[in-house]
Amino acid sequence: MKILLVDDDQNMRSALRRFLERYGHQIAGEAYDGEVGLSLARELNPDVVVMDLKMPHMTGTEAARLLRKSHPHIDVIIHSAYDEAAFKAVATKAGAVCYIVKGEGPTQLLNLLHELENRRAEVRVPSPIAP
Amino acid sequence: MAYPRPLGPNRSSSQSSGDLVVLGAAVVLIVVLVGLRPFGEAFVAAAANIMMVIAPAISGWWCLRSNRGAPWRLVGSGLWCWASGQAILTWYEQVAGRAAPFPSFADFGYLAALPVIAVGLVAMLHFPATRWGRTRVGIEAGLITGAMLLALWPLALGHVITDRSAGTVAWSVAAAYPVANAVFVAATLLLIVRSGNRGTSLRLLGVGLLAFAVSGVAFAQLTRTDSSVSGGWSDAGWILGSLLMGVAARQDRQGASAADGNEAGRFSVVVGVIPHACSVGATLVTLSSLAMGGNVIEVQLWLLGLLVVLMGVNQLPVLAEASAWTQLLEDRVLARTAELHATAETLKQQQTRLAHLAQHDALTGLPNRRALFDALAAPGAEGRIRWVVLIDLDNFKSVNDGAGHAIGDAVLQMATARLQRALPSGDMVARLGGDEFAVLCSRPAEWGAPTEVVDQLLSTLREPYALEDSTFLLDGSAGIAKVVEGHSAETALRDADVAMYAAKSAGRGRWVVHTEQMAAISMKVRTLVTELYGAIERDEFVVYFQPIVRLDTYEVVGAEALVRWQHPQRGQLAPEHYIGIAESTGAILGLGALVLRKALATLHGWQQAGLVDPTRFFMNINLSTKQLEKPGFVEELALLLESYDLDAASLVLEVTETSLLSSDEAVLSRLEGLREIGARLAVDDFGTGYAGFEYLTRGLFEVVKLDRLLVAAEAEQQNWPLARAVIGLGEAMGFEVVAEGVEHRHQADALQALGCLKAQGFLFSAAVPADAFPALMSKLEVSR
Repeated sequence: MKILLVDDDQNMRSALRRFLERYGHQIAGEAYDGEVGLSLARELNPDVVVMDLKMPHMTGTEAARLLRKSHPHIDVIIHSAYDEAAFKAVATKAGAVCYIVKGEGPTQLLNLLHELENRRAEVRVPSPIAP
Repeated sequence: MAYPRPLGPNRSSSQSSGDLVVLGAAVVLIVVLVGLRPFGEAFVAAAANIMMVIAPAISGWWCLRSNRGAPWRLVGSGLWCWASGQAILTWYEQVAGRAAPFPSFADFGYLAALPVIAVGLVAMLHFPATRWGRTRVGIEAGLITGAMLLALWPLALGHVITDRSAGTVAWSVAAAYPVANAVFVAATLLLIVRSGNRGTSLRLLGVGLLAFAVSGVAFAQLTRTDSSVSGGWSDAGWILGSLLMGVAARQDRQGASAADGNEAGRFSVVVGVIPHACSVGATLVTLSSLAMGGNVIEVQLWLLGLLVVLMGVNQLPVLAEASAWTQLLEDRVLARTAELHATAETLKQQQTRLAHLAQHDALTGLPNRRALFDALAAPGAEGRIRWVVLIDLDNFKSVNDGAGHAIGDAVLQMATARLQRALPSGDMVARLGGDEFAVLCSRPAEWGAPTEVVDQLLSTLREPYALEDSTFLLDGSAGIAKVVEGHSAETALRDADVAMYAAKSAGRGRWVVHTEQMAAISMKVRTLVTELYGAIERDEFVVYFQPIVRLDTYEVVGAEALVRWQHPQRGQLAPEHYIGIAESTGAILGLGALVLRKALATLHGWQQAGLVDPTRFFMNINLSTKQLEKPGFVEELALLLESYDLDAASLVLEVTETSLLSSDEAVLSRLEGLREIGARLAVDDFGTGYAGFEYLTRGLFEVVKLDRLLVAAEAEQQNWPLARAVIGLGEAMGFEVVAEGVEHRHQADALQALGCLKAQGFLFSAAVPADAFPALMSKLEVSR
């Protein structure tokens, strides 16, 4: 899977990169806020964007909402430290495929990516921008 | 458990008292006997002889019984030898009735006593640990003994030595007395020189020994002149001297062997020179005797020579030591001087470094705030005007927060290099802290503000910053202010700060030149902003609610939350006094959050009390552009709604047309987010601002609120052309139109006739406090 990491915490990005690369995923790029993340997602056209929620300029949910409109084939996973039902509801309505609470274990993220990969293999989502 | 009982002070003091009694009695007896000479010469002689036996015998006993070590036992033995000799002499004089022959066994007793006591004294000496130290003790002993012999020469020794008429045995015995005396005195002095003990015991021993020696010398002199008699004053020295030695033994509590424990600590200079003083004294006596035509023989000269040699030898190590010390001192002075030179050099370098650090920024190496202040305080060049430009990197915080401080620092260094390159030569750029830079620009007066320079600077700052795998884009906002000569540096920087603030407010990435009006407004704004923040903290803001009614039934179907400031001095203040400033300064965020929270709390209360129907009653809340620009606003609102157990569908969020002018994607996303969670959006103040229809086509808005000015203006024209058009548009596009500022019944009727369903205004009610609102609801329906 080609993944874009968006998180304002550099350590978190590095940790996620190491972890996901170990399991064979390709990290297409990194961004430190939602605004840059949105631009990079549009430019790099990844399969999945793993996005923090609270970030400068634009939250993960806000970026996900905009990305859903312009690039609906890109799956957005919100990866946040906040375990709030209200946040989860907002993120889901914004189009995020899942809201994962940081610290609940990376296995959940890995399983989700695997599931998304399988789903993509079954249903080829037409991409407006050829990779 | 019993502890061993130490010797108490009583026993010691009673012992001292007993000793004093014995000594006192002896003194009294001697004075009476020798001074008054009662019962005739024979009695005095007999008494003196007996006392001279008893006194050393008792003292010897004391010394032997004192259990203070071998030195005292030797002294005691010597005293017993003395007492034996004296007993023999007394036997001759008092029992045999004749003078003792010379030499006799009495002389052997006497002569044995002196060296034995002397050996005891030497045993009391402290001998240094080093070989040289012990040699010096020997030299000092030689010096003192030689000096004593020389000194005694004119008194008795010379005469005895040179007179061999009485035969060899008699000559030997006669000579042995002064020699033994000399050795005895020498041992006494050596003890004083080399013993650290300055206690009572040594003093008593010293006085006793000296008394003994003086009596010996006096006796020898008297014998030489044939004027010696038994019971004379010379006998007093022996009696008292021997008694004092015995008392000294009893007083010595530490023991002779330990009496000199700390030689180095107690050795005084005065005592230390005794050997030399004795030698010099004896030499002077001999030389003066020679000068006065006295008879100086070879032995004296040898003794003199020996003294000189010993004194010289004693000084050799001192000279060697002095030379070594001098060398050492010289070396140390040289080493210390070099060290001080090095320290001075280091300090100088540190001072230079500190001076540089005090004036420069550590990260960029640019002059710092202090250096800029110094430069501003210095007078400018003749015919030129100086300008100070404050530049702030927009969005720098996100680089620091997102990419880390190391990247942030690297960006600052790159920005610094660019500013330095773009700056005209002679001008100065300083870093004031964080992402704030200042440029001091000097140029001819007729050139005006350095806007073209600032353009160049901002342009260079806008170039991409490529670092590691990331590229950053930054912008800069600049404030330009003239440096008024004579005014403080703070004034110039404050003016530039005000201008920069204006630049940021006008949109980032631009410059603004400071004007006088700006300063006046700025001061007023700052005061108000300070007051605003204080009022939010003190909870001086209250929320009033204006009813929104259905025009057909006058049923209250909603309320618009409107903020009021209960100013402690100025009374209640309407929003127009402060909303603009709050909006432009960011204080609106705090204020908006406060209104949102209070309005939701009120709605929650009404719903819980059953005063309003959650499906039919909407709470209208105004949102500012700043709130919409805040990342996470939708999430925060969702959280707030959850905490008050409210459905977002009960909210109508009013947004002004102005905030819709922004093409910010993030704002658009937030508006959509608000719709997604179920809130209804309303375009507020429609018809008076930058009216546009494009956003109405996006399907975001469900409500359009006709502005009060439009309502008032339309009412004048009777046919309501614009209102009619908007209401028609609403019907066509599916949004609801609510009229604001309805003050008269005919306006309400006309609007209802046009198809407007809802309205608000003074006709129905002004905004009222939350607790007055429920009563209003039923009243309005009745008034229809």
